[in-house]
Amino acid sequence: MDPTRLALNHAAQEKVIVHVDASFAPLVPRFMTNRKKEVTTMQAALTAQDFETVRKVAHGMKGAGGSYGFDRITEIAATIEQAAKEGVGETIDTELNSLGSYLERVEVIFDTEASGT
Amino acid sequence: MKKQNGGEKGVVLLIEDEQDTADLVRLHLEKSGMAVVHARDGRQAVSIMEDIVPPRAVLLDLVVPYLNGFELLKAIRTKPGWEQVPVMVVSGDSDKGDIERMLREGANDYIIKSWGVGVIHHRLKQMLEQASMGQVA
Repeated sequence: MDPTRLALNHAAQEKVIVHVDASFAPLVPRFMTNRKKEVTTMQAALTAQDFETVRKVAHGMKGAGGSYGFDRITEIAATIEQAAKEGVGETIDTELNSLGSYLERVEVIFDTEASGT
Repeated sequence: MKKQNGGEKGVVLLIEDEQDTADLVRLHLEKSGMAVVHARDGRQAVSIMEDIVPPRAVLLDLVVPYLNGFELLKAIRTKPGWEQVPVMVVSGDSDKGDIERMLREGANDYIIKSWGVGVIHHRLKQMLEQASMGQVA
């Protein structure tokens, strides 16, 4: 494999470490499962050009991500929500891929004094 | 008969349609001794308001199904006995116009969800302390 492609592939598979308040621990597994389900829901809605469903799901995810300290989820969800309002399917598709990749790579460390990423 | 406020620190009415967010807020508040009554949408919130005595505070999501935050705030502020209940709007949105309107129409505070549940909890405690001293706007 050419070195550039190899480096990109490696970067795409790197773990993302997020520090989360230890008191959230009982809720985080379901939180992550639900976000993955929502990616699937939004992908199906995008295929059907159902931008309203994409917007609603992204809006909920935007708030949930920040509440738990997953700021990256909130950033991506906000971009998806805005793109859904404007009906820009290409942006939604790109951001859903980013979100899916993030959810696969994220590794949570539970801290007594957390600082989210 | 209306349900009484539960627990030493009273009941907080949480109006939030995103279940994971609601679970997190509930976990935090219950750990500090507050009881939480959760409404998943605007209709359920109005129904619960008929069924309970005024809570110590309301945490109100701006965007929930059936009735939005503005409509629910109006319902709270015009309901006898609920006029002085402290209301904190908790929203994923930071639109300046929405924030100003909610505060103008009677909300006591407005928190952005991305600030995290710790900030929500801290500001709620401040709001309750002010309310107990009669300082809530």
